[in-house]
Amino acid sequence: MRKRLALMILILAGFVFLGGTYCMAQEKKLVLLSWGGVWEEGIRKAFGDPFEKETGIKVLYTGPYDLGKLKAMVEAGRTEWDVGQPGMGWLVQAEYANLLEPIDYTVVKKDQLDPGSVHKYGAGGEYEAIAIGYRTAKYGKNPPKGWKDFWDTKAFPGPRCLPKRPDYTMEIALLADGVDPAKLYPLDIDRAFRSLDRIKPNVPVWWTVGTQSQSVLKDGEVDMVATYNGRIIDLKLKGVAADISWDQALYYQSAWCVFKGTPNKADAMRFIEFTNRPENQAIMSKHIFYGPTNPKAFNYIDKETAKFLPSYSENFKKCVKLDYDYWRPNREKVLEQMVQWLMK
Amino acid sequence: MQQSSKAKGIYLIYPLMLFLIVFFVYPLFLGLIRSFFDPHFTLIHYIHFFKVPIYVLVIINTFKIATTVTVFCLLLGYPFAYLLSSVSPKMSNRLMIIVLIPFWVSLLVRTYAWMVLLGREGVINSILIGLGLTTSPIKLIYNAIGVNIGMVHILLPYMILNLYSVMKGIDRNLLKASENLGANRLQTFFRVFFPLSLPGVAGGCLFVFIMAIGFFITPALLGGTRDIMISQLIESHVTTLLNWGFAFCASFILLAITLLILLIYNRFLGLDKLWGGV
Repeated sequence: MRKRLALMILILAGFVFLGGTYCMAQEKKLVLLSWGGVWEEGIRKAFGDPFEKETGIKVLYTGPYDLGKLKAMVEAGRTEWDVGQPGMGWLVQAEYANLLEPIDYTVVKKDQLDPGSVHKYGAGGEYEAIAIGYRTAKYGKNPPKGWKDFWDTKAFPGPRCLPKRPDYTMEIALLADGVDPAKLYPLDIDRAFRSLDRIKPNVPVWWTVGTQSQSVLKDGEVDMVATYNGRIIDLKLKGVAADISWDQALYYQSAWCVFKGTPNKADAMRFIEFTNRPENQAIMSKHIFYGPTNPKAFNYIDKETAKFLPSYSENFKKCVKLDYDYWRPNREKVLEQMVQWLMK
Repeated sequence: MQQSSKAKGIYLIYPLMLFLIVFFVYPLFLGLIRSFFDPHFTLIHYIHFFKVPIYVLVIINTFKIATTVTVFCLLLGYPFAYLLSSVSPKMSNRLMIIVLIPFWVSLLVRTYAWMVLLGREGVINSILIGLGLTTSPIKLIYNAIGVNIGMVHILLPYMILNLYSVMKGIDRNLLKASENLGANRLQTFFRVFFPLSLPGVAGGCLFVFIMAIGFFITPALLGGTRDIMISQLIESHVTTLLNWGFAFCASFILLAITLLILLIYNRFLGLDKLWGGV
């Protein structure tokens, strides 16, 4: 008798579970691949919550960004992520490996976006820049301006930190060597390495993740670091004695993309269109200090905050564009050369 | 009678074997295939591995670092294991907790803690400068010193446990007998105790060495540009460059070298000593 009862309860529970899952599956949702932390908070406020209110589609956040995992998902035919906003480097790698869906420009209105931010597999998003973060205690009175100063150990003595990756660092090395920004690409890698040879003795540490670039400056491990403008400003606003120098900052786009094989492609496109609205982009930029790709967003941003953004006119004209069309075919080779150079 | 009890127990192992075959052996096998077929049969990855000098250089570097870490673990671990195996059980239980506590702290947290301690303006340098023992900070991080400290800290418990399990089984009466026969403490140690502890030494060294060559996070965060280990290169091929054929090739070369080491070890010392203790 007991056994029969237990068995019946088990079967009933099974049905309830299946029924619940079915109901959940019917509820419309969109999976957004998130960078977490402050970024995710900004996305929620600026795009996630308003989008849900307007369309009834629930936005779910997951992470972390993992190109290898994306490849595994697409190859297995089980893409779990719908939309994401990776940096151009990541996006170009994913595009090269056939892991993205082309943007549907009948839904995503491209005329409101900065034309430089419209691509086949990525649209809109934000502009981020690699700039110089320096300790004001050391260089406050006479801050470094541009990569030539970053290389100048006589006028600006002290240890520095550079990114342990070929993109960003090769461009920085060439600009420090005096290459005209307009003639930067295709990169003269040999010249970049010769330039890096000059600064190598003053670089005790090379950063691999964003938080590391912040902690080396904060802990005084180095006096200057080349890293994301958002990270430098984050330190400054938290009270650390650091400041940012915009001259020759390298900017790139962090574009919205749709992952290949996602079942929610149409909703993903709707979401991207939503993210390009100026008032929403303004909310995001005020939260995370990366520049909007819709120029009209500046109508909604106060002057104080605007100064922290790469696409703010005063900063933007000092910036140099990172060209990922160059890096798509060259990344592996230059990475190997860089590892070898680092080991010397 | 013996036969049947052996046969009875053997079924318990089948679920584990199944799990390992499905989730470990099979994916490994797929990876091996992929390194040779990408998509048609090709040796391009293996050729690339040996042609571009960086990969062989990094493998050699990996072995160098693993060797120094193993030696330090042995030098630090041996006296502590000796102590552990010599004191009363109550005392040794307490001391054992010191060995085991690091296991309960995340590897990443420990590595970051070392960054705070060893940095240019970190705790150790601040103390040294404050005491006047040095005027400028000593470089303890982002070089071989940092990597060794970090890796030894993490691998030391494994060495100690291996040594302890062998030392525990050494009959102390043998030591007493040796002293009775006229040998002094030093002679007793070198001619009686130490040779008996060698299986533990060999087992501990093998264990630590194999774990060390696979290390990734600690050398990445604490090491300098010269302290690159092969797992870091494999990782960038898997997650950044998406060149999985090559990543599997490098992984299998590493696996092959590891198996070779195990084979040599087995030939001379016997692998059964590792889990048999004495």
